[in-house]
Amino acid sequence: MKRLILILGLAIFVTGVIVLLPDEPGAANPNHDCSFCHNIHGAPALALLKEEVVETLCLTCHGPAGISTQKADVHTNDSPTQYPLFTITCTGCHDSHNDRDNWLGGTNIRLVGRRLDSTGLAKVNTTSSGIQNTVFESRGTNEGGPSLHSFADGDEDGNSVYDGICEVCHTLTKHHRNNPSGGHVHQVGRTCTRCHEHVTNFIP
Amino acid sequence: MKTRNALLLLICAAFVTYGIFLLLGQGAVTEAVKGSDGPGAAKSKKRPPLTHPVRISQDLDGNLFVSDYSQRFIYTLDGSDFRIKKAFEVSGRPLGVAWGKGRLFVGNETTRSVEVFNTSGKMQYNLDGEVLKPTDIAFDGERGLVFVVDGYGKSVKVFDAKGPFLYVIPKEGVPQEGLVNPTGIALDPGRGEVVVSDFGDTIARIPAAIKVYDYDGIFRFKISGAVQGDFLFSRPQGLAVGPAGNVFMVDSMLGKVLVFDRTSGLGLKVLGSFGTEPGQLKLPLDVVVAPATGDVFVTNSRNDRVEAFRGGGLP
Repeated sequence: MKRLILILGLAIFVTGVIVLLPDEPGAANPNHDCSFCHNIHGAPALALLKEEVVETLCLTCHGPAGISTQKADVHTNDSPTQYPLFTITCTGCHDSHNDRDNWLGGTNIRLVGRRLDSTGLAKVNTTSSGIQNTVFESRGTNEGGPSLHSFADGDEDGNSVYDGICEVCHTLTKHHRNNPSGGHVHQVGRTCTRCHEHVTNFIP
Repeated sequence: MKTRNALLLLICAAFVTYGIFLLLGQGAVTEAVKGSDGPGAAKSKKRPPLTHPVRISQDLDGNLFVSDYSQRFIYTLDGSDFRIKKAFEVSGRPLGVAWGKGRLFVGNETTRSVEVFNTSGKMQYNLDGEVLKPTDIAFDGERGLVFVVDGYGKSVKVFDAKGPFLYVIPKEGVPQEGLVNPTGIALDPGRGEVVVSDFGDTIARIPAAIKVYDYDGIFRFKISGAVQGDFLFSRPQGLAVGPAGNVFMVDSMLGKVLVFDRTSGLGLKVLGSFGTEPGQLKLPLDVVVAPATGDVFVTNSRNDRVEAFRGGGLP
């Protein structure tokens, strides 16, 4: 009887954990199997639940002295701008597990967009405009990709939704806001990170 | 009377707690150092604050030389009061830095080369040849050799300090333990050893390790990151060889300096812990140990400062 209760309790616990997990596991990036992040020997307690620990983990490889060729840093505005000082860390834009399908039926690249609700579609939780869909299927014309569905395509698909990853949050920038106001022609479809480098906090 | 006794007990408890706290701090007094302009420092409008310290080196007078990847500067800090004494801009992103007899060897990620400056920041010459990613540098003043970790080249390149390229570690054509993803480097000139930290390869199930070669590039031994319970590591970066020959290594993920016995490879002690408070480390990337005092200095990259563990390098 005791054993039965124990098994039942364990089953309820495991089910609960699976249901409550925000992201389903499985890394799309072939360079990152589970153990790449989840088998960090002696990692700090609650290692992969705290944002700052996740940020550190990413930067161990993608930071200055890390082994990855893809260098990155968080998104900040170091000097005063239209916005108050902010820091958007890795998981603000990236899903640590999967390239997610987007609301237009395609699939995002570079782990852009997170699962934030039951639809499982790629979204970003923006400070200014709540949860927004994001579409990122191309790295832009500088990288030889199409301009459509790149960082900021100026609503090239004509659906009146500014869902490029560089557009979804912006409401006060001069260019590429997430609404029709402001300019939407600045370097449209090009690879924003050529000038607004990921490694320099996206500051040009 | 009761109140007096209680007060006495409280003071006593506080004292004991403080003592335990100090002991748990591995006997080292920690000090968080931002690196600031002191009263005597020359003011420069162009000089940005230290924000992303990467590598660190020390001269014989106790000055610390710190590369800042984000600001693209090399800072000279006074090792005792951490006043910024000098700073100069690098044309590109600096990584490895090593002091050597009045010169500074700086690994420039942008130009893929090692540039040699005087300590005032005047460019002198380049070491010959390309280094794909000059992630860390060590200098042997007696032999006049510069050892440069080429992160993307998966090797250590050895140069004559005057410029010419000499050879590669591990020695080519010899079947032996290679380097997978090397990051940091330190020298033990007395033993003629080159100590290299290696991320390994998670996908290929090659664990992180500290690998030791002789100066000719022949493998001697390694300390695996996947063996010792309290001293497991997976993201090793900068290294230093302490006064007693112990190996100091920062793990950038754990936020700790792990100290290993050189002879047995066993873990001896730990400095720091993950976090942002004084004495805590977030993405530490390099370490130096002052030979005379045993002071340990760590580039606390994500906390935008250098951390000092006074006396932490003593046995």
